[in-house]
Amino acid sequence: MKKVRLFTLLALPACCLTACGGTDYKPELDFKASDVKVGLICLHGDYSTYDANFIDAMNQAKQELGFELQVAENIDEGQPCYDKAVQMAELGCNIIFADSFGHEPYMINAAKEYPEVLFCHATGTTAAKENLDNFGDAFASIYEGRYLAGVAGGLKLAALYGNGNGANVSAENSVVGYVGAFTYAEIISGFTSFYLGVKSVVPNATMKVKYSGSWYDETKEKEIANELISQEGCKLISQHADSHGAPQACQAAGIPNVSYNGSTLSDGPSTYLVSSRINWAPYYKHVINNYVDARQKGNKRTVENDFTGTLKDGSVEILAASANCAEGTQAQLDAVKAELIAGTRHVFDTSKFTVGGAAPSATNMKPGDATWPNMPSNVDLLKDGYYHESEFRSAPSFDVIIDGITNLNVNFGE
Amino acid sequence: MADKVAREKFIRISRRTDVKLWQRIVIIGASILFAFLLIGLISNIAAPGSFLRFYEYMFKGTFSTPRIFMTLLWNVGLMLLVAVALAPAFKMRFWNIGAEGQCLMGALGAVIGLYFIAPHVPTFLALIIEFLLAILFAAVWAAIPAIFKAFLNTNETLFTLMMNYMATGIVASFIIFNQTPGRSGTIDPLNSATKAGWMPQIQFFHNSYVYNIIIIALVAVVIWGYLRFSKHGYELSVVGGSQNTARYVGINVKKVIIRTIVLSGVVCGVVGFLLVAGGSHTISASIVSGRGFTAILVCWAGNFNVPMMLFYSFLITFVSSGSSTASSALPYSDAISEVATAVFFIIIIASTFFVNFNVHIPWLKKLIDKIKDLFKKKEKEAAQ
Repeated sequence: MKKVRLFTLLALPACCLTACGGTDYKPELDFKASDVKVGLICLHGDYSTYDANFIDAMNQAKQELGFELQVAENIDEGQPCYDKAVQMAELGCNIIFADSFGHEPYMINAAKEYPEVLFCHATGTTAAKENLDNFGDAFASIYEGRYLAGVAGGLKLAALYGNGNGANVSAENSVVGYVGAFTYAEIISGFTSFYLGVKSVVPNATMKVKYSGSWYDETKEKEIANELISQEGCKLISQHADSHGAPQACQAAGIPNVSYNGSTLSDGPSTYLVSSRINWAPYYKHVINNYVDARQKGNKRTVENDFTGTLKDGSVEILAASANCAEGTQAQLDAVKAELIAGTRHVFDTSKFTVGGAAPSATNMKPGDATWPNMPSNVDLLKDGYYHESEFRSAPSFDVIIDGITNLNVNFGE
Repeated sequence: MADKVAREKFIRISRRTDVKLWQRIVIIGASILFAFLLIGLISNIAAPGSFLRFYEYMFKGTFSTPRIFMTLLWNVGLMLLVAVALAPAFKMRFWNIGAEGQCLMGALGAVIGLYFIAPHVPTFLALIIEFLLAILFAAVWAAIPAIFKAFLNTNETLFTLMMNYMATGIVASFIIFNQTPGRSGTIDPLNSATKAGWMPQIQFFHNSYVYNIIIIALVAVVIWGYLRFSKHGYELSVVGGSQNTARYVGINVKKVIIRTIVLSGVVCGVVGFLLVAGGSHTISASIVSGRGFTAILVCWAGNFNVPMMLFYSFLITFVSSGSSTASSALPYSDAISEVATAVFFIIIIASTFFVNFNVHIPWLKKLIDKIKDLFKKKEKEAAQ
């Protein structure tokens, strides 16, 4: 009996701390960004292009804001992610970011146990459904960057095969190839926007897509690129996978390549055109600044369930057009970029593509259950004449194969 | 011929049989201290000036709050339990390097229970079913190479190793067929809303690993007693010593091999059960995260003795998770912490060498003697 009472006595203050601590905030006027402790959980280390992109962005944000940073590398998508998030929270981190899709459920579990700590997750999909004040998903409207990269690709085809006019390029010379990782919305949305970018310059453009079934498989990506070039007659290649296989194959075959995640000029000195990438630094700064603001004003510390970085806020970047691009490419890119930012041009303009021969509609454009389980019924993705990608949910949802694009295979990861 | 005898070897090694407990403690203690010092130096090379902060973060990442400490204990417990599973097999000189796969199959059994049965039955029953499925799967996985060893005398090292890869393949296919919609080839934690079939959480330290640690302690004590006091434990060490002797005294060798390895598998099954029901509540092909292999080191260094294995499990877990915390707070990559951990254990393993062997270096001994003589002479001269 005594033991039980002792236990309740010990447990009571602990419960009070977690239960009541959350309601009463006092303004901390001298709280600064340099007082913030930030944790970053990475699936791999800085040896992976994917994780390096997050780590670099975080270091950039750190340089500007001066917060204290912990970077945990090689954290599996499983219980180790939960354990690491808990450890970081216990060690006093105020905001914890994770970088891989599979980290999400474990971040959510940790978020539920530490309501005073913000948990932010890149590329996730279920924050809106969970609806926690301290858990948020983030992505960027990278389709805008892909579209711009597509425009550069189209201009190159026009210069090579149409005397500078895209409309003159024959159907045979406007076949584009795409090396994808998996048949997921993230990839489909990416190559569709790329294709629409090419098509905005070369109306005859068609595209063939083949999936490697891996985020990183240099040999396979190279093989697929070679197959697209030699057997499918592709005149321009782009890719969404993390190795340098495809750019190298393009260089060997002398076929122009549009890259992703960073410049691959060293792999394709005479074939690399341009690259788009997500810069996570604006998101990191946004979350951290909001947190500092909430502390200073004595507000509840929260993070939005879904955050989508854009071209405008610098989250989506198109790198400078390389010397291999057609003449005038940079000027054209700047012009289109301005239109996209102003909202006078939309990537997924429904008048610019068809699905199964029909105009895009609520029925043929609804994301599948695998892409967006339990999609809320009030979401109208097609209003105002364009598909509202990444607006209602930060992660891409466009998972329809539109006319003009052919899937050579399907790979969900076997 | 005479020449050869006269020539001394550069270095000579002999087995030590007379090593006393205090000598053992001194040798191992000194090498642990040395290893600790060395990994701090490695950190200091990677990030100049980080020598002391390295140790600070090592302790922060493992001891600083009750919750962090419980996570450490849970990882220590898992490591110990896998090593405990290997101990009976190793004592019998059955080189089971398939603990990774056996634990993974155990986890698969538990996840099948969690996925298909737990939502329909009360949690207590669900836990029992998961537990039984886990030990059944793991025991069968261990029994296969044991049966082949007993009846066909196949090489168990290669066999158990291959069984690891097969287990990984089976689990990977299970995940593909049952993946959560909207996920890329993973299964989200199952029954998250209802917590059906989850190990109960205890609010003590606000932590969910308490029951897991209790179960691990119980199993470890049982196996310790089994090896030390039971007839089975004696029989398996006789089989390990010499199968012919075992046969001569009337031990059924085949039976002992299969029984012991099934026991090994059952303990691996408990590990799988805890990883799923008390840990991630789902499965991935990397859920065992190499513990099946690291445990071989623990088991060896601990000399198949459960309390010693506990000590080494603690050391391994403390150093690897502590140095990885340090690497995340200090400005260098996780690879440095992996190097530090590896260096640490090479030194520890080397120390067990000095416990078991004497190293004679004749020329060094002569050199020392000469120096001693010199000093003595000088002393004498001084005295005169």
